[in-house]
Amino acid sequence: MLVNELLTTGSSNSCTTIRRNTMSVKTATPDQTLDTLGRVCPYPLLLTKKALEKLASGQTIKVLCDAPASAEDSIPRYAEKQGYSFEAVKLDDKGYWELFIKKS
Amino acid sequence: MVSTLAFTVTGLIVGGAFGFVLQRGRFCVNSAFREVLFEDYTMFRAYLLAVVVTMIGANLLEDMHWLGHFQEGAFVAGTLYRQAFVPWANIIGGYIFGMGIVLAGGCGSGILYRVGEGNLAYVFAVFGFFFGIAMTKFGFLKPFYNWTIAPERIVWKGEDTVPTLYNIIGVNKWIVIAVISAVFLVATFKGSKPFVKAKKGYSWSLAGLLAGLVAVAAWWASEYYGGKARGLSFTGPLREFFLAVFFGDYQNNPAAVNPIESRNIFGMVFSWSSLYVLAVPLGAFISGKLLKEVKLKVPPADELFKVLLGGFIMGIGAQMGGGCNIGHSLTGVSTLAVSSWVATIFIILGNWTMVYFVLIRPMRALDV
Repeated sequence: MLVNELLTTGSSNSCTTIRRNTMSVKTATPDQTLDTLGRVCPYPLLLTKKALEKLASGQTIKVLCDAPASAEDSIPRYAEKQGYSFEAVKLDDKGYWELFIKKS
Repeated sequence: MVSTLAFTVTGLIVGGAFGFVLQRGRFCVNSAFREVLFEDYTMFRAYLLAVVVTMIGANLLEDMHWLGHFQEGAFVAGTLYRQAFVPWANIIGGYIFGMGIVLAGGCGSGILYRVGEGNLAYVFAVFGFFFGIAMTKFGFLKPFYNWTIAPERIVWKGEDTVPTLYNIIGVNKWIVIAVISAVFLVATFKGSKPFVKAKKGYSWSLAGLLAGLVAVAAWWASEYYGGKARGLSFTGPLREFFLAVFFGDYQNNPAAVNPIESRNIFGMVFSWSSLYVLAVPLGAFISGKLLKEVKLKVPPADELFKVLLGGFIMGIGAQMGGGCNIGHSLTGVSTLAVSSWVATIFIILGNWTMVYFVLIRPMRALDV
């Protein structure tokens, strides 16, 4: 049974980071960036799933998401179920999340 | 009789509390039903838990005679409002509603709370919802709607008793409640991780529990302050809210205004539950603001249009079926009325149908 540590690191006043697994997934050069800002439920999750299916193992996607239910619940849960590494950065001043998922 | 101030404040508080819990718990019945098809049962578990809590709480209120209101100084005990079983309406309406919520991206309460988070699409959904409701009750679909709910099509138990899960098999209602609760609780907690806290929001178990508790509070408060035990519901109240704002009273018919169940607020006569319509987005806004999750969000144009259409379909289904995912599927099922259980089954089926055609099939086509 994998034991996944949820690490919370507060790096500045305007964003909070939640990480799954100890290796940082966040990267300035993701293999793909997916913008789901403004999309209604369930498109953020659905589009993320589709994009991930097309990625190769080891690649990272960066998803921009502003739907709390997707960013905090359904997408991380999906990543966990698939065994992918996941890291979420909430940009408080902008009101949306950058979700980094690395396909294993 | 309760003062206008108490009437107003309590309506806003109950609605606001629900909106707060929905936002923070990311609780949406549309998602709950839909995600079952994708083998994610988390939200569905939250829903089942909410049903158990509401069912036990509401029936306890009723049997302990804590449910009631004061009239001319005397406490008049009330009963839970159990909706009549109108099979054609419950089935067709439920199914249509289930389809509509998928297009709209949220259920009756879901679209209201997401307005509070700032997504413009859901404002469209709410207006579409009202359009659909009004068209069905008063407009183009009225003849068909009236046919489905005609007296000769109402199915009674015996002479004039509303059928419930317990009276149709002739047992004490608490036996039915115990069995359903046991089954639902096992389904909910078996193999699950109830206390994994979801980052900043509530865990699913807390969301379900709190939603159920607010629903029970709404049962009590709707009777005590609102004069009639309706519990939490959004279809009728939404219609009533807009009628009050457009036409001056919540029925658009001064003769039908019930002074025990309504008050004149700023020149418009509102029913108690119609205040939820303002309060839910406000409660969600407060919760969202505290979590820094409120932002004006605009989807692509075609999505706005689709959500408006979804709202419209939802409204038709909800008015015809006699309730939405909360009115029937939480509040109604807690009363064990057959109408609500049947409607809920068909809401789920309608949801699954639309998910297949709008989400599963097109996504498969993209694989080629």
